[in-house]
Amino acid sequence: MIPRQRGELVGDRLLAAMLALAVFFSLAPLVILALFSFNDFPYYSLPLKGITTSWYGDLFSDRQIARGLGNSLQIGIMVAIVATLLGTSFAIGGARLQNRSTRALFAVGLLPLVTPALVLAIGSQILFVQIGLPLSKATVILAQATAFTPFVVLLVAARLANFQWSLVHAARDLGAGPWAAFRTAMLPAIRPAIISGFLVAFLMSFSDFIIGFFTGRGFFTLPALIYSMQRVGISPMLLACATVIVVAALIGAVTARGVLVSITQRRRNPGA
Amino acid sequence: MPDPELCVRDVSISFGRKLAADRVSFDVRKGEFIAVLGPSGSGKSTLLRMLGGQIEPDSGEIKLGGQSIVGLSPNQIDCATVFQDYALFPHMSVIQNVEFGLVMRKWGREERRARAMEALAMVDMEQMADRGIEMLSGGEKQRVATARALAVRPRVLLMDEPLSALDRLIRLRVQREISTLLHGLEVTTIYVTHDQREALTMADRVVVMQQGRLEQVAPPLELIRAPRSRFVAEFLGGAGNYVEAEVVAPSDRDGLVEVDSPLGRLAVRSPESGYPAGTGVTVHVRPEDIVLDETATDFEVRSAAFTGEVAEILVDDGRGRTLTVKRLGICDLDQGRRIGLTVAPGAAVIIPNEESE
Amino acid sequence: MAPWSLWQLIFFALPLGFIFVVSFWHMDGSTLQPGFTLDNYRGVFTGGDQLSLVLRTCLTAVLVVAIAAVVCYPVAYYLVFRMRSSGMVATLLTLIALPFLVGPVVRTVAWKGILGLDGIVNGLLGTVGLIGEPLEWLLFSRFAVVLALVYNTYPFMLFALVLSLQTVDARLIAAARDLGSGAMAAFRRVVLPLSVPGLLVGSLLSFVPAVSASLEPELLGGPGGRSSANAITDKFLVAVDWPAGAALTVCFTAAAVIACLLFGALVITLSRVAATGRGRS
Repeated sequence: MIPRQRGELVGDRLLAAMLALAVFFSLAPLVILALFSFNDFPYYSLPLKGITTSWYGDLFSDRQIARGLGNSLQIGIMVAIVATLLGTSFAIGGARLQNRSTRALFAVGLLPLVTPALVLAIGSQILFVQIGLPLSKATVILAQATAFTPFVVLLVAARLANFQWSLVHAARDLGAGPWAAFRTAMLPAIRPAIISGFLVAFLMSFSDFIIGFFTGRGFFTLPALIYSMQRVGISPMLLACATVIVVAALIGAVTARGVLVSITQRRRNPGA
Repeated sequence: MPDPELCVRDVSISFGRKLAADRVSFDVRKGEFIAVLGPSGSGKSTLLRMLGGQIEPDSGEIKLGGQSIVGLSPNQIDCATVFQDYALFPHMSVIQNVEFGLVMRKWGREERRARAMEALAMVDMEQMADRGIEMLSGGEKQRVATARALAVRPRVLLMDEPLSALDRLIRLRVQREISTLLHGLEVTTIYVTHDQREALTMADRVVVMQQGRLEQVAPPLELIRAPRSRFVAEFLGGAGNYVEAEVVAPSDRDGLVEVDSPLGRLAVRSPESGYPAGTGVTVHVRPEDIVLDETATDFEVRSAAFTGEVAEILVDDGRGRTLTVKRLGICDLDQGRRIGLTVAPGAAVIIPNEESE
Repeated sequence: MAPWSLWQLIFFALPLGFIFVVSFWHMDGSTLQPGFTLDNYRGVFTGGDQLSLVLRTCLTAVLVVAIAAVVCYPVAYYLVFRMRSSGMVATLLTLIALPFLVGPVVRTVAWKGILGLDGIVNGLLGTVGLIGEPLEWLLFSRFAVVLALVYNTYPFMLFALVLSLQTVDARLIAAARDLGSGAMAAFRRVVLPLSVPGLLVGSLLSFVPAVSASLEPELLGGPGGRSSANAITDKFLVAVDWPAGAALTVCFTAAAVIACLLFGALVITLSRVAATGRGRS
């Protein structure tokens, strides 16, 4: 905390107002979307007529949507599992072996973060076709896991940054094997990061459009379904469907918050 | 007497329920080196931050050169601070750090370089001028921080535990260097520390604080010879003997008060006068001020230990309390041996009762 | 570390390599033929508006990143230096990051209904009486694309700035003030230079999705709002000319990298000017 001066109170208020505006900017469209999914009016527009849950009834009885949801869940869970395994092991390795070449390798491991999803999607499509792999859910999982593993790496690495390796050494010293040492000494410390990494990877996959668009054939994911349905007009059922995704994201975000707390606490200045 | 350079009057501040400064008042003369001494949490750093304008007191007045500085921003106050962890700008070189305050005062390039080099020369760091901050050792960082503060020639230099981040050996050397430098420059300095050795060896006067209260303001020698409270005596002198006594006769010609104590009748100094006969007082007797009389038999030796240069002898005062006596050299008194103890007139001092709390 | 590095070699390096290689191949009817031709690149440079589309896409992305930086910096500053509870900071960051987690389709759909002619904004403004006619430029416009892209990318910027500002010791600000800086000078000369790495990382992380976004331009941009991403998608899925699409992708990527580097240089220069006070009266 920087101590306040009288004259700076005005500036402080201004900054606080900007923060409030940012939060509003982030949430308002999603709240409006969710609000209109309960509106008893068949268009995504004013007026607000009254509350109904009938669009959700439509949504849950729609077979196509159910299939899309099933596909997205299936792909999302597989991507999350693969990304969590790859990302966690990579983050642990990167944190333990601190030398120049592993640090470079670690940076390379994060490259998909700064690679446009579109470019990766196109390249993956070409690769799969050229090596004769038919485009399917499996190819989508492969490409998405490539794109989203770095998120797991980041979260786990952030948590590991202040991990005490002596705990693992102590466990090994007391006769634990490598796996037992990991499970008892390290896992409890990084479990929240792994869980949020899993969730973020799942959500990224669950909401992805472009990678699935290029690397999958013969089925619809939920976002692809919404994409094709909105061409005809945004129906309230579509809003209900989008709201389900928002709620899923909210659950993921709340879970990831715990990890954020530890990251934001790390370098906070001791009280003035 | 000229106006004080810095004048602190009834300054109070609280953080939540905790009083960090409780009606603190003292004056600082121009060129004086003042140490603010106290244990951690005594409010000494808070006091310094208020002087620098980083925080504003809840009430009270602070005047610098006759002008009130309460409510001013730090940049409007002609003080410069040496921060505890130096707070050197990591993205600037040594010379850029030292020039910073001059840049802010809109000095020209040539003049500020000359002044910065001059300041660096004072701390013997000219040859490091173009180094990066990360390359410096702790002691070097300390010197750069001092030079940075001195370069703006502040009315008052504020130092916030400037040596606490250094290890002990370097600390002693840097302590001497700072002391010589600042006394030579005759710059008015407020030096916050929790180390009583630093305070006593460097300062012209010491402000002792505890729990936001000002316990005593006095030159080092006076603090030792006439502590105004048991806290001051203990914080500065370590273990001493505090004996209950009763006033027999108020001040005599030499200003000494006669008291009855477990050590017999003593003539003691008193910072306050006017104790009527019969008043119960606490008398502080330093262990080295008690002289052993091997011919008398009033007291019983409990133990005697040789601790290097001095012998420390514990003696039963006959009322169930233990007195500590220190004597230079080896001492071969056995346990149970009976001896006498004497205290020279004026060696012990009455500690005023602390009912004013 | 080995599993992920190996995985990357196959599923990351190989795809990117293939794009490059295929950009020199050609189509024989509807089948892809290996070979070496520069025709595809010639096509990009001579074929109508493709190059200007690349340029415009990059400019839009730079604009988006600049807006994100300007919006996020004060917010990040407030979160790091002015808020006491790190729990609260984390909660606010989580809420602000929500748009990023819901994915592009949901975001775009949400904006469509809000900005449309009979959408929420026009509806509200009309009801209040501020406008007589609905505002047409809200949707199917460059405005809509930029707004949606800022919405989509600014959490990246904010996170990068928050993490970077957290490494700036607040006592440095106190030291600058103590040595005579006003609040703004302390910010320009101490906080800003020290947060440049965060500003660069944030710019990169928000530039990438902004420059390659395809849904926002397609669905919110209207007829003139197309981006390179749309053109690339068309080459692959409508024209089914992979080599041409690959060549366009390579050119687009190269342009994006250059734009990104230029923007980074601009950020560094601007912050240096701000820090030394040169270029200011």
